[in-house]
Order: sequence, then C-alpha cells, then structure tokens
Amino acid sequence: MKLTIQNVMKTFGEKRAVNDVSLELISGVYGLLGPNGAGKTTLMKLIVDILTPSAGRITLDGVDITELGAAYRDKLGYMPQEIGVYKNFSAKKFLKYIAALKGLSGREAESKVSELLGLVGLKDVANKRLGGFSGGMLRRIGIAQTLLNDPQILILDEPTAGLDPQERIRFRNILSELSGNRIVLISTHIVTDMEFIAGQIILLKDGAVLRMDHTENLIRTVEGKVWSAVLTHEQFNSIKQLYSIGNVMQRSDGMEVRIISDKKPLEQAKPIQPILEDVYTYYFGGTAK
Amino acid sequence: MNKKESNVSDLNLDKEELKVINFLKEYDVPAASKNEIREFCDTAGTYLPQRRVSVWELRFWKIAFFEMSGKSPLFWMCCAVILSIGAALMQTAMSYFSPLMVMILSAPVPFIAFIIDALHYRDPNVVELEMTCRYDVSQLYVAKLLIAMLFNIVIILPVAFAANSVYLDGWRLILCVFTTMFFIGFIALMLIGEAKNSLPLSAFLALWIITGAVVLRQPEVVELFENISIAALAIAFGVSLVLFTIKLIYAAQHMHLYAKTGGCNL
Repeated sequence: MKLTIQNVMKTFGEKRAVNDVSLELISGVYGLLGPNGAGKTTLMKLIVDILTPSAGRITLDGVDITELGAAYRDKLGYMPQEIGVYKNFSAKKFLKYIAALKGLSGREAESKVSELLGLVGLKDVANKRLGGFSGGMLRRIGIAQTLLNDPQILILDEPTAGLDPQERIRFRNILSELSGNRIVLISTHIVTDMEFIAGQIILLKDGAVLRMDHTENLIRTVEGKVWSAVLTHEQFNSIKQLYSIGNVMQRSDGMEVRIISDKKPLEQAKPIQPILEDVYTYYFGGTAK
Repeated sequence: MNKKESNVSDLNLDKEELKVINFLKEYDVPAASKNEIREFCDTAGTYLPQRRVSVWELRFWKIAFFEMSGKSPLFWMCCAVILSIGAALMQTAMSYFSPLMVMILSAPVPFIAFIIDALHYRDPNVVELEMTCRYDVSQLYVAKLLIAMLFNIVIILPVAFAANSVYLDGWRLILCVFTTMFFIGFIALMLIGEAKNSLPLSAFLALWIITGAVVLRQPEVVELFENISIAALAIAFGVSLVLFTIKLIYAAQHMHLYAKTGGCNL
C-alpha cells in the first residue's frame, strides 16, 4: 500500500496553508513535526479528504482518493485535533453511532466497541454521557473511534494532547502494536512522544516539507551543533538573543542551558549528544543559529 | 484433438477470441481455486472507484434510533404538552381558542424543539468525524432533518385528528397545519444556516409561541383563516413544501461544505 501526495497545495484566500507538498508514505509510522501554523492540520485534513486540494493530488496505490471515495474511507481512521461528539450520547452509544457510519454491522459494532472501550480504559464509564467527560477521556474516545474499522491508514492529529503521562505511555504502546503493515501519520507537539513512536519524521514549515528522514538520521544532522553550558542569569539573557535555546535547567551554580549553534557559542560550552528536541529547536527554534 | 480443444472448437468463437486462446496456450497458467479467485475479487473490489455511498444504504431506522434515543427530557416534555393539547381538544370544544388557531400555533413546535435539542448537544467538530466515514454527510443530515419532520408529523397528526372532532372543516385544518409546519420549518432551517448554536432558534420558538398566542386570538385573524379558500391554502401548502425541501437540501449541504471549505478549526 502506497499513499502518494503529489505537489499538493491548499490556499485559504491569500494564505497558502500547504505549499507544494510531495510525499510517499508506505507502511510505517510517520511523525509530522512543525510549529503552530505550519500546515500540519490542513495537510492531514487533505489526506483524509475533508478538504480538497487547491492543486495537486493524493493517490492510494495510484488511484486518486476522491475517485476511491468510500473504498478509501473504509481503510481510514482519523482522529482530529478537536474531538467533536454528541454530548448527550453515552461513550458506548457514540462509538456505536460512528461504527454504523463506518459500515460495521450491529454484531461487529457491539464486539468492537466493547473491545476498544477496554483498550482505552473507559469500560467503567461506557454508559456515562460524553458531556461529563474530561478532555483526556474525550481524547481516548477519539482514539477508540479511530480504530473501529481496523484501518489501514491512521491519521492522528495531536492524539496525546491532554493525556496524562500514564495514558500517553498506554497510547504509545497501543500504536506500537498497531503500526505493523499500516500507514500511520501522527502529529504532536510532544517531541518525546515522536521519538518513541515515529520511524520517520516529516518536518513542515510554512506549509512546505523542510525535510523527511528517519529519526536517527535527523538527529545526526545536528550532531556537533548542540552545546551545554552553565550560565548566570545575565549571560543567559544576552545569549538567548543570539542563539536558539533548547532545554534550560536551574542549578545551584546557575542555569544549565542547551544551546543550538553551528559554531561553539561560548568558551565554557561543551558539545553534547543531540536528541530529537534539539532537531526541532534547530529547524524551528528561531532565526539565530 | 484433446477434450479441451474439442470444447473450444465447439464454441462458435470468432477469430480474435481464438487468437487469444492460442496465445494463452503458450503459457502455463496455474489454476486458481475458487477461494483464491474470491479473495482476489474482494481485494480488487476495494480499489474500484466508488464515490460517496448513499446514506440510504445505511438503514433509515438506524439513524432514527440514534437520533431519537438521545433526546433530552425537556424535548419529551415539550412533545407531551402538545399531545396534552390534543387530549384537551378531544375533551372540550375549547371556546376560548379556535381549534384551528391552536393547531396552527403548535404545528411546527416539535420540529423546532427537535433541532434545538440536536444543536444544543452537538459539537460542530463532529462533522469532521462523520465526513471520514463511508456515507455521504449531506445525505446523512438530510436524513436527520427528515427524521425531525417525520417526528413532527407523527406527533401533530393525532392532535389534528383530535381537533377535527371539534372542528369540522377537516381539509382546512390539515392544509393550515401542514403549511405552517413546512413554512416555519423553512424559517427554522434558514436560522440554522446563520447560527452556530441553538440560541437564535430558541428565541425564534419563544417569539412564535408568544406572538402567535396573541395574534391568533384576534377575531379578525381567526376570521381571515376561516375564510381563505381551500385552493389558496393548497397553493400556500405547495409553496411552503417546495421552500422547505429546497432549504433542507441546502442546509444539509451547507453543513458538509462548512468543513470542506475550511470552516472547521483550521
């Protein structure tokens, strides 16, 4: 199975939200990384056929997804950034409703809904109304509805936002189990999640693909560019004007700062092993590098 | 000549077909089992172009079940009040109100209450999920609005029959009820297009009941409705039905296009 995005563009009035994006996705987990407004959500909505491209086309195994229509959507699981529900429905009833719209028979829906409510840890509140659910619980409902039709293509927009650490770990494990032989595209602001889940990362900036590569290769691109230094408050204030700054940690003798720079930024700075967060800071962290 | 060849010659095949058969004889094509052929057809079938699947393939009662089972107690109370009016009309020939006027006033209330209830509990983002499912979303919303109107008819018909026992001009009653139902339904759908929540529609319902109760009690208004010709009422009914149908289709498409054009949380 190959999902191909060919020179796709999406404009809203004057704004070009997605700018000439071309990607080829085969089985595996892909992470979509980019700052707010980079076009991640718009690209995902184009892939799930909620939005129509202004130019270019998206194909599955060579056939345009708009031509495939229902046959494409039968293979699709989508979790939007903001989960919309019917607040007067119980968790079970809402999942059964989505199952009916996905074409599952009553019997299939019954067993699948029960299985998925167990998987996301909501079996105890299956008959409670969604209007009383917390943000984290609604996201879990969102994850469950995504998996109802056993999709071959999973598009997940910020699936871990609002989940507590334990839920995030549980979700990452679910995704690891599911990822074999499926195309999974996931966007999240939590870079550490991406490091655990995604095999390849797509960096998106101003609607265009900046880079797409395996996580370890991307980390390699910033090797020798990540520095650590212990600074005073005054030094930190002046240095943050000049360089992209990663993690900052308070210490008894000052502030331990990760600095992203092509050259050694300070005399006392020591080169350190980069992590995916440094890749994000390097590509999106500001103009000064 | 073996058995296979004799079978081929027995069939009245044209030259082109024979050419293909002879060409294929050069290759050893392994025989596939029925299961393998079925499996291949199933896989290939999923790649066949199949634009939007009509929502009518999803059983109508299924949508109706989901729609009806989620209704709030307030909605059911509203319907109970309307049915009580019917019971009251059956018991007494209400001298204070004209049965015709009572029916005109209450005719569109279940439909509006249905939509208010639906809008109140519906998160606009849910359309994004519905759009990624297999059925056509516009048709799904047409079906939902049709369910609301069918429900309105189911509630109002017994009341109309009750009213008919004390008001003898049956055709006038039915035409007035259905014209009001479809015309007010048309206005309600116009308001849905503009509104993001149930507030404008709730205000409209309150306005309809209050002004209706005042205006429809005026003797001149009652006389006007009593004297309109049946032909004029039939035309008004036809016009209201057409307006409602057009607006129903437009409203459903609007919900679909709202997300398609980027209106939903980009």
